[in-house]
Amino acid sequence: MTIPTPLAIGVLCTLIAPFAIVSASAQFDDLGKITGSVQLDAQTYSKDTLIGAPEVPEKILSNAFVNLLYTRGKFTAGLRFESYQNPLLGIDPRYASTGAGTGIGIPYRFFTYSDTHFEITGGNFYEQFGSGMILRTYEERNLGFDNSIDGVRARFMPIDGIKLTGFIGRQRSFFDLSEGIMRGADLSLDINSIDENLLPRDMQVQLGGSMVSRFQPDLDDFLKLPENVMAWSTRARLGYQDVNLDMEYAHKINDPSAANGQSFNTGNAIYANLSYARQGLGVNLAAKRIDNMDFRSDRTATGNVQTVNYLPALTKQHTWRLITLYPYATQPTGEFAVQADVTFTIPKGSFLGDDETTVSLNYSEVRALDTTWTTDLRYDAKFMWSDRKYYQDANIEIQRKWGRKFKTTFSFIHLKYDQDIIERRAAPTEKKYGLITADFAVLELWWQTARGQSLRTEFQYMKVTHEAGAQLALQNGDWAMALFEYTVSPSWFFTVFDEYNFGNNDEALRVHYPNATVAYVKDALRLQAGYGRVRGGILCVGGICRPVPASNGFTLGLTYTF
Amino acid sequence: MRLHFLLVAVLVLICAASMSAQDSTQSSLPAVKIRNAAGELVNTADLSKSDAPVVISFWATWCKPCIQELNTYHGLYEQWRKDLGVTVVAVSIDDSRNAQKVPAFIKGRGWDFNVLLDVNGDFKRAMNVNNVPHTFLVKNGKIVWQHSAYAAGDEEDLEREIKKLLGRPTEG
Repeated sequence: MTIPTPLAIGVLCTLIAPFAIVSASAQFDDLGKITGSVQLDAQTYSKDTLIGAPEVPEKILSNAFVNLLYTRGKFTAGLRFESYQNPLLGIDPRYASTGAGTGIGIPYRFFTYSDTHFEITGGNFYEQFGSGMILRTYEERNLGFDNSIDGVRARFMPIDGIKLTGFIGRQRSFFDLSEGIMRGADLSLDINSIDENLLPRDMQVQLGGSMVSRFQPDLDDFLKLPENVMAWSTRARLGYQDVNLDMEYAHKINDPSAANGQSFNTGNAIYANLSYARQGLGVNLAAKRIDNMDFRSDRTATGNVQTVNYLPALTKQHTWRLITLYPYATQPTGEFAVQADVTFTIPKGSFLGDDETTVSLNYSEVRALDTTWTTDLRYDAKFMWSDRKYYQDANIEIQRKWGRKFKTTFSFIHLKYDQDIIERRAAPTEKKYGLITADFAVLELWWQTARGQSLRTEFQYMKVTHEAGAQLALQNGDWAMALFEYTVSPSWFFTVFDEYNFGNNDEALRVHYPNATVAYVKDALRLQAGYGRVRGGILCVGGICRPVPASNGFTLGLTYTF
Repeated sequence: MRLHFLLVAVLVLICAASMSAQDSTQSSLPAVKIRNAAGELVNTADLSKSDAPVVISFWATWCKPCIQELNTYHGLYEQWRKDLGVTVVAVSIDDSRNAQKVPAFIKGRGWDFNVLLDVNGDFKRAMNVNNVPHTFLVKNGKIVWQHSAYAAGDEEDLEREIKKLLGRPTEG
C-alpha cells in the first residue's frame, strides 16, 4: 500500500465513525446496515529436517482478514483490512515487502451505487467476462491470491436481458498496483428475457462478446513490444429442454512476455461444453484448446500473480488427500483437453434395495499442441493435439446409503501426470521425472453413532509407478492414509489422520505425517486448533493451485460472519 | 505504527460486534444478480419475499461436507416442503472450472433444489461467507439464522429454527 500509515488510519477512522453511529442506532433501518466477516489463520513452525520443513525465524506466522460492508438502499461500500505477520509459508512473501512493507493495509475498498438500469462502482471490483478466458478478477485468500482491479466500473441494463459493462483501472499487485492499465467492455444478451416469444418453447439462447486491453509502455532495448495488447472473446449458450451447449472463443494479439517465452505468436482459445441433465442422470462432455493465452497486467510477471484471465483445468478436481499430490494445472502456453463426466443415481426400490446409490464416472485427458518453432520468437501450431500426454485421469466414485445410519463411498482413480511439465521440473523437450502413474483407492465409511453424533473414517491407498529411465530421486513412491473424524452436532469436530509414505525410495524418508484438529462451531463462528506434520505439495482451491512447503507445527484458525 | 493499526482493527471489530449483538438476525438479503442452473439471471433479493422460510446453502462440487449436507436435505426435502413450506436454494460457488458441470451434478443426484451459480463469488462476498458450507435461514427477505460448517445432525437444528420461525412447537 502506498498510502502513508497516518493517512490510512485517518481514512479508517472516518470510515468507522458513521459505522459507530449506525451501530448505536441500529434499530433505525434507514441509516443502513453493516455486515462483515473475519478470518484469521496462524501457524507455529518447527524445523523438521526429515520432511524438509525449514527453520522459520518468526516461529509464528499469520494471515488475517477483516471485511466490512455497509449497505444503505441502493448504496453499498466496503473494505477489507489485511494483515500478514509475516505471510504463512507458501503464501507469496511479497505481501510483507510491498507497499509500506509492513504487511498491513486496506488493499480493497469500494463503493457501488446500483439502480434498476444502472450501476457504478469506484474502487476495487471483481469481474468476470464469460467463462473468464480473457478476464476474471477474484480473490482466493487461502491461496494468497487477489487480482481485483482498482478503478471504475459501470453497468448499463437498458431493458431486461441486455447488460453492458465497461471498466478501466489497474490491477492489485500485493500492496501495490500493477504497471499496466486495464480497460474492458462486455455485452451480454439474454434472448429469452428480451422477448420470450422470439424463440420456440423450451429453447434458451444467451449470447455475449467482450474485449479487454492492457496498456504498458515498451521499455525493451532489443524487442519492439506492443504497448496496447487487446484480447476479445465471443460466447453462446444454447439450451433446448434437457440439453445445453456452451461455446466460447477467445483471441489475443501478440504479447511477448516472460510467461510465454517472448513468443510473438497471437493467442487463441476455444471451449465447448455439451450437457444433458434430467432427474437421476447428468452427462457432460467438454473440449478445450488453448494456444498462447497467458494474459497479465504486467508482461514481466510470472507465477500466480497479475493474471488477467482464467484458464482452469478441464479435469476433475480431486479432494481425497493423497491424490491431491498430483493435481493438474492448465498450461496457458498451449494444450488440448477433453473431459467426459457422468453422474447417475439408482433410485430407492431398485434391484439394489431400499436405498439410493449414486455413481460418478469421469475421464479427462490433456495433451500438448503439435507445434514447431520457426524462428526464436515464433512457432506454428496445428489445430489437433500431439502425442505428448500431460495428464490423463479415469475415475469412478460410488456412494451408497444403507438405511439412515450408515453410508459408504468407494472411489478408484487411475491417473498419469507429467511432472516435468506440470511442475516445471524440466524444459519441454527434456525428460527428467517423466510421466508418473498413480493408482488410488479410498473407502469412506460413515456411521451415525448416536443422535447428532457421527463417526467418519477414510482409508486411502496410492501406488505410484514411473516411466523407464525416469529419475527417482526426490520421488515419494507409495502412500497410505487413515482418517477418523468424530462430530457432535452442531458444535464439535474432532479429526485425526496420518499419511504414511511407506514406499519412499529413500528408506530414511518413509515417515508418518500425523495430524490432529479440533474445531468448534457456534452459528457463524468457527474456531479451529490443530497440530500437524504437513507434507509438501500443491494446494488447490477453486481452480488454481499453489505449492505448499512441508511444515511441522500448531495451527489456529478463526472465521466469523456478522 | 503497527500498534495503531491493530487498535483500529480492534475498534472496527468492536463496532461490528456491537452491531451484530444488537441486530445480527435482521440483515436483509443483498441484491446481487447471478444465474440459475437454467441460465436465467436471478436477483438474490427476490429469493425470499414472503413468510415462507427459505434455506440458502452455499456449497461447491469439490466440498465434501457440503455434499453431505445437501444429500441430507435431499432426503428431508419432500417432507419439509409439505409440512413447513420450505424452499432450499443451493448456491454453488464453483468457478468456471466446474460451474458447467453443476446442473448435471445436481440432477444426477436427483436433487430438487433451486440452484444458483455464483461463478465469481459475487453473492458469497455480499453475504460475507468465508468458507463453504455456510447456510442461512431467511424469511421476508431478512436473514434470521446462519451456520457455518456442517456436521451430521445439524439439519435437526435447522428444522428447529424453521419451526420456531413458523411458531410451531419444537421438540427438545
